[in-house]
Amino acid sequence: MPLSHLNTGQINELKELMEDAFEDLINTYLTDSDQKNQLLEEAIVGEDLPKIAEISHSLKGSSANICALPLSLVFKEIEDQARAETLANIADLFSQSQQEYQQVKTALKSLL
Amino acid sequence: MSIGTSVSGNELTVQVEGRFDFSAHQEFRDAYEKSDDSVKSYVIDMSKATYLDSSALGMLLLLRDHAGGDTAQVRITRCNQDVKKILTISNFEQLFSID
Amino acid sequence: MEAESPLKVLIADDNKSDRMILSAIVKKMGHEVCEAADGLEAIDQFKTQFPDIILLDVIMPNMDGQEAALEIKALAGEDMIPIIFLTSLQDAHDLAKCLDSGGDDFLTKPYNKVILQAKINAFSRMRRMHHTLQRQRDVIRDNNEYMVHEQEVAKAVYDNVTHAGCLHLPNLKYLLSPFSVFNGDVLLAARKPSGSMHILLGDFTGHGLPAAIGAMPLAEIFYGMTAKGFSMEGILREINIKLKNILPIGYFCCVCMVNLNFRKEEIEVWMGGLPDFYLYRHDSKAIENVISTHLPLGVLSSQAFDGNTQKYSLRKNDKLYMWSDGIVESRNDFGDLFGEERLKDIFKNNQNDDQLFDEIIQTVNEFTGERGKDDDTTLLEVRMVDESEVGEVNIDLSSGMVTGPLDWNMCYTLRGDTLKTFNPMPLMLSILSDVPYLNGLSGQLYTLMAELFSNAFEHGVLSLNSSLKQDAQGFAEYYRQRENAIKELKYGQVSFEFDHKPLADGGKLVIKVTDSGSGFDYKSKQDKQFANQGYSGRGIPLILSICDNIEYLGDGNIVKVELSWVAD
Repeated sequence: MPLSHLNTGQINELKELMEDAFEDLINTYLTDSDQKNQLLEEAIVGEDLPKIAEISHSLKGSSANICALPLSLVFKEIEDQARAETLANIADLFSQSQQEYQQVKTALKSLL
Repeated sequence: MSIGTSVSGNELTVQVEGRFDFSAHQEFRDAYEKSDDSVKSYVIDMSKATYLDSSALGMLLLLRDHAGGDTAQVRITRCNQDVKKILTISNFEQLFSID
Repeated sequence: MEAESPLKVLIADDNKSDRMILSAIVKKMGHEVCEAADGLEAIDQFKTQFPDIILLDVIMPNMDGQEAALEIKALAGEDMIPIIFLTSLQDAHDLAKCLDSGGDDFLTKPYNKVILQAKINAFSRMRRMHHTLQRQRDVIRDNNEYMVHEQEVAKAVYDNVTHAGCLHLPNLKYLLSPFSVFNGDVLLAARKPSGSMHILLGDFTGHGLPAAIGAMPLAEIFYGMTAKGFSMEGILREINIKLKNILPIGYFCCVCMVNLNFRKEEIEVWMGGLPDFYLYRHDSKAIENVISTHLPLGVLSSQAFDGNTQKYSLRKNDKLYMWSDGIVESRNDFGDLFGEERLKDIFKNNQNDDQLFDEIIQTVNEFTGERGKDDDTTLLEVRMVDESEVGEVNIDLSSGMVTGPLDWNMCYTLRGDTLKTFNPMPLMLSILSDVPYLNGLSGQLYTLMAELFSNAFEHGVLSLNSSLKQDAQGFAEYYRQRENAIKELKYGQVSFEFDHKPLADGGKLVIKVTDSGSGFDYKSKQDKQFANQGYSGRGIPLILSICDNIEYLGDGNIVKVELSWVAD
């Protein structure tokens, strides 16, 4: 069930709220997230802690708003680690986030 | 400061408690203006009044006017020394019966 | 959604998708939206779009939300611009920091439509209330400014009218310390043409403008009449009736008026409603109380008014201390009254009486301390000095403007029906009372004129026999005859001749009354030195108690009285 990555009730509410702009919203989220995931990866490679925290914080918020709670939680983990300045699990968490992101992406696209 | 009233026959007694000053203005006025028409004489009981100022003297003059001016029957009773002193300085015994 | 005028809502969030969602929610509510992607943009938008409410993300590039909030609140000044922070922050410390930087509330991600709407509505209500308060405050502030301006103008007028007169003279020390802009206490001093000094200390009911307003006519009368040489009684009588007429019932003025006579080394005092004053004896250092013996001014009618004064001798450097009740009734932090004992102690402990005045002020100030006063406070020290110390009075006595009419003659005749029905008293008294000194005698002059007129009319014109008025029956008969005589009277007249001349130190009034009657045998009776029996009903002793002498002329149908006065 691909929709488990998204909260069904919430996403329907969002769809209703956005009306015609729903497609635009999804596309904006995806374009934005693609970019930020890229930047996040670079920051992790470069071990730029403040940057990691900043980007994962942003992705955490936007993912939550798009009803992708599991994804939001992974970004929260990354943000917390970065703020705690422990990089040990970062690579694992990042790959976990990318898998989840792909699932969310598929699920969102199926709604259009 | 508080004002209490009681009526006995045709006589209205207004009891003043605490400092008798401008803050008592409305209450004091209400006390005699809202009294029965049958009231012919007035007693101001000062036994619990601690002090009075010139606006209180003014209120007494208003009551006197309300009660008929020169023919008014207004007694001021049971004044403590401070209160009596102020009434005496102002020579209010020429206008009221003070005991 | 509430039916309210739409608001402009600024949404500042670096995530475009988040802005889209918020924007959709806010627009659905019917409000207008403007957007910013970071803190700097948010400040720009605030300056150009004037949003009513701001939704502000905490963590943004370039300038974060907290910094932006601080700047926006500073720019907004006293306008209320609610800021709702958008946050996924969880830490209590971080959230508190948001409020410290000027945030008013939070909205956590993911956004909940219902909560956001409720918050916007709540802040919209608060904003409206704030607006209303601001508007009302502005109206009050404008009104207040206007009123203060009016008060300043009024104060200038007031000060001109109630000016200090001759309070600057070296024998006086005074303190006037009003509780508000306007003083409910008045302190006036002026020299009389004779060189004496009139001083008046008054304390109106209450303080501020309502109290001060009565001071203007009081001062006008005081200065005007003092300059013309009127007596204290005349002046007080005039002030009393003026205040009685213009002040509402319950408002009055406690007054002490003093006539300081340098030549006689004497003061004359009229006092109504003020606490005891002290007479300080320079030699013995003793104090004597001067007490209030009258009702305050503005209470009694003219008829009931009592103008009696008390006289005290005051030797050089003896002093009179006068004060309003603001002194003895001042209170300390514990609410205790200053009281008379403390006042007396100042005199008791004094070493140098030149310092007394300052010691009183200092002691009262120390007593009230930080608390400050809650009534108008006035203090005056009057010292008896040689007249040379206070200088000459610059009043031109020959000018009628200042002294009233002094050199004049007038004849006034009543005839026929006018004689029967018209009462000439008010007119004649009004003319006589233009003479300063006579004004103070208006009561006695009335008695005098009434006696002279009834003698001329009843015993002269109507030929009624005064000896009838010896018992009750006689009186009744007298009045029956009087009524008949008036009815039958065909012809008759009474003439009054007034002649007033100035003297070196006063003046002399001669009144001659001539009636058309046949007169009487006064010559035989004059020898009896106007014994009462011989002139029953003619009130001669009464007339003599007022005049210097009385004389009958012609056939007894002419009477002449003389009254001399000396300016004090």
